[in-house]
Amino acid sequence: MTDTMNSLNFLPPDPILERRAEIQRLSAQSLRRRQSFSRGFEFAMALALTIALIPLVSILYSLVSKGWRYLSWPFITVSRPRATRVLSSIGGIWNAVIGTIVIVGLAAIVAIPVGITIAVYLSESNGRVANALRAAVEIMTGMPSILLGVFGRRNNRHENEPSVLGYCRLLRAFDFDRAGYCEILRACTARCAPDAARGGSGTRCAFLESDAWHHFARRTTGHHHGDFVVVGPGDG
Amino acid sequence: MALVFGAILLLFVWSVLSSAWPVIKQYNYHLLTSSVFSVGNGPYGALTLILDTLITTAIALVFAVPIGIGTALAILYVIPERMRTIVSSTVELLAAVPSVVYGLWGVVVFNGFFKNIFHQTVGFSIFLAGLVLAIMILPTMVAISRDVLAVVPRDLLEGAYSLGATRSKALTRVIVPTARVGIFGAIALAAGRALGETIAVAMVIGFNTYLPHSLFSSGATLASMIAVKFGEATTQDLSALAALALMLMIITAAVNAGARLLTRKAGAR
Repeated sequence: MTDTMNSLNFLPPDPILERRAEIQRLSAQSLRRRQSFSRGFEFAMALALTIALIPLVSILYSLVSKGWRYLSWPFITVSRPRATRVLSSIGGIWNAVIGTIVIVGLAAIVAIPVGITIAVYLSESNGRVANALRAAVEIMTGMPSILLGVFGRRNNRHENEPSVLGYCRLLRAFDFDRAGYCEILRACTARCAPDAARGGSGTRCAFLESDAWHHFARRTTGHHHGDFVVVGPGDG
Repeated sequence: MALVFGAILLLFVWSVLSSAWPVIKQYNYHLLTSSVFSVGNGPYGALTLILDTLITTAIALVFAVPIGIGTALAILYVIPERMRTIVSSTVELLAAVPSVVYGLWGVVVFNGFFKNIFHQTVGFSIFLAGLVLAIMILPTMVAISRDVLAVVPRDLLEGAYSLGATRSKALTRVIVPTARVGIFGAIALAAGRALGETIAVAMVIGFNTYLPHSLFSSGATLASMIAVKFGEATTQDLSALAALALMLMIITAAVNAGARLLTRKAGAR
């Protein structure tokens, strides 16, 4: 056996084996480099996630640490601020709570049915009007809320004179609504059920036929009823 | 109902345009080229405001886009599956925080931090506003990027692995390019929010209408100027502020249109 091995050592080197060994050496090097780069990349992704979470933790900590001592039952249920400069007895926020609920409620009452109806129309129509409306919705989705504020204020600039609408919660809710429509429309049109879910044959149902309408309403809205509940942003 | 909605949109545009018209007629192109904006019957020049709006948005995007895409990738491909829902809900919780809270947080936490780090006399600056905006648009970036990355077929990832690609190569060369159209959309929406953000920016930007000499000087954006000065505005001021609103509307619409164009081009490729 030893003699055989000794005789093999005297054979000329096999170029194929040498080439294979060289390839294995190079690929091992490359693999190590690529794997370490990949680990670095994964670390960067984890770092990005951590960075994204830091503000949330910091905001929660700041709010809780500075605000918790002022939280009390009277603070929530009392509505009229008292004439005092002591911070702990500035009164309550009940009026603000009611105002927020009324505005958001009015906005939801108007925006949700109208938004869903228009979204259904947009998802089922490809006419000129629908395309124009779709583009308008896309643009309005990106419109800053301050523009709606300018619009609302402009239509109510004579505050001391009798006004049809007045600077009231209804008007504010109406302004808030237009932002709400766009969010709801975008969410609904983006997530309406695929064609297959509407019938099985894959053909789009005729929107204006009453049977098809029922069919659509059941299948599509039923398919994505969870997505139709779009909560408006807490606009500052 | 769709037509009524369209009519409301037209009324909205007409309303802002008709309010702004007297000042546009009086100041013409000087409204865009002059940097002096003085409330109390003028002069009105929006150059500084436009520049500050674009700079703060650019700073926000520089920070938020890589962090947002990285976070979305981490949620989908790095962290364990059982933690995915919790972590993504936690990040999206940032979207539920009202902008005034971000402003308050920027004043309390970031402002002090900046004073200590950069030894600024006053921490309120364009850069600080950009950072606060970056945090505000992060949930938008993360949520939409995650959604579009999640719908990329798993087969593509497995195909890349089978060809010997590492995870980083598979993600950067296969997954992200496949989802690029949706990611463009996420960036456009985030930019739209950054352009129009009002209260948080007004609280941390320092409110200065002179041309900025550095990122750490104070400034004012179009939206913050409208919000801060609306209460004390005269009739002519109201017209000038409506003109600012119109400019903001045009910039936002241009960003959206640009994003649609990019998205269409990327989708066609």
